[in-house]
Amino acid sequence: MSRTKGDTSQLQSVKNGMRILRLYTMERPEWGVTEIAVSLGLNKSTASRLISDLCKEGYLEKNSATGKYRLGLSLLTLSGVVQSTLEIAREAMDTLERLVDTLQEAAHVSILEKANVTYLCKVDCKHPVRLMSHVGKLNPACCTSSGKILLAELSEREVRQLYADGLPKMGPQSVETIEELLDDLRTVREQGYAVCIDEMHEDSVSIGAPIRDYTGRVIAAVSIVGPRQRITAAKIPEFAKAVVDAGKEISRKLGVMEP
Amino acid sequence: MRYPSVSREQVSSLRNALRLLGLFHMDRPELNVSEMAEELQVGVSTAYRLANTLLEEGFLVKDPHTRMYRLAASLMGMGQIIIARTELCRLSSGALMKLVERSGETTHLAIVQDNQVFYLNKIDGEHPVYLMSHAGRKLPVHCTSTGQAIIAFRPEEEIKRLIEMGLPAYTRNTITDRERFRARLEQIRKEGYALSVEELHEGVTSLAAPVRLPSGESVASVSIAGPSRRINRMSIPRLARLVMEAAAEVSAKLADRRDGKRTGK
Repeated sequence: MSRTKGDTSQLQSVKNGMRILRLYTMERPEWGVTEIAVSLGLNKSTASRLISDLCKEGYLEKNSATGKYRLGLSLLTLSGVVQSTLEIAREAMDTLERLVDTLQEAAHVSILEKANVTYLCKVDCKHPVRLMSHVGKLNPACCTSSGKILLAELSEREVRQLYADGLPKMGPQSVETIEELLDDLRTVREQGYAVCIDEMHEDSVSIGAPIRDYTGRVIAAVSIVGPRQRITAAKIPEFAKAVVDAGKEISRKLGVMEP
Repeated sequence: MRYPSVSREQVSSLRNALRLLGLFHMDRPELNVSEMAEELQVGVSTAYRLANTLLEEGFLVKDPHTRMYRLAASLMGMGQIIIARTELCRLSSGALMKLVERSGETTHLAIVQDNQVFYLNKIDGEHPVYLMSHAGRKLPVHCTSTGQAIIAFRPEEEIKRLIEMGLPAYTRNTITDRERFRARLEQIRKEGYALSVEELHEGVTSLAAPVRLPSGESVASVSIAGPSRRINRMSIPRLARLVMEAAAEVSAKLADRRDGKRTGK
């Protein structure tokens, strides 16, 4: 067997192992061997071998009551390492809390991971939460306001590369073509904030603004999200100003000098 | 089988990738490829390929300027899934929140695993202490209040095993003498809580009480931690009472839960 072929199949086992971990969600925290094999299109014996490795390193553990597997405590350690070393999340918390107090809607700080946004921290509003989100959750960038803020920082070529396989369809109004998305990103760059209505979920509005580091580069986004009845078209300009100001305040804490 | 060695290599490649993720630490959140190679004892090109596969799968991110790798923030989502599905976390979150409100200090829920203290949950207080701990952090048993509170109520074989592994010093206050350590455990059993005044970190004091089964054996502990200038002789009696109440509340919930299971509720 040639060396390159051996390398490829070894890396394939790394990829498949990581894809097993990615199957887990809040809604589905336990998976059986067959379920894993079917979802990823693997042989049952391959899946068993990968699961056994993941268990040995503490990334999965077997629930003896159900015979299924759940995420292991090694992942809690990694999650804690990320959480404890996130400077932005620490600096942003006070500002987020004030934003939620003022607007009475949930607020997040997010960053871009490939074509997804992930929430670094969130503050819930006092209204009952209808939109499920939690720290570390991934959402497609092209249908969220925070995602558009972050995508607007990339070059056209980079955006086209990210969406070479097309755009995911989420809410009823999510953008469908790359040209439409590039248009949206131009608007976002011009106005300095992003608004998404019914793009991620039906009846949800989100407004996002940039957070910059000391070099002026957009490194994260601050956003609020709520239902359309509360964030009406008439209120959007006022809400957008509050979100943009929050983004500037967090940027200042990170060392950005106002021009 | 024609290629028995290939399948063994495949296995070790995934395990190496998982160990690579484990190299990241709160005191060392960024690594470059040669550091990874050295720690994993693999070649630089192997480390590079593993890191890039983890990058492609979204578990690592790379700073384009410094070429250093970090853990991806989406890993926090997996931590949240674990906390939500862990019975001990679910049963204790109410008591921990109440303890934070009443004490104003950062609280932890800890277990002992593989001879180390493991924080299952952490809730920040009014004055968050960022640099000490996080959910998922592992620390030594003998010089933490969380570890001492658990081990004091464990069977003699476990205590003996811990002592035989050695009691290394972390600060001037760490108990390194076997007899003194046993006397400390006796004191914890009498008073119902453990107090570590700068036994692990200079400047940090913590208090912990055990979560116990009806048999009396401990399974976890609840603690608060903060700067020694705030957690001091004046405040300790009140804080110790709050910690013991919180731990007792979790113990009661655990007992209810087990009774419920037995009677098929």
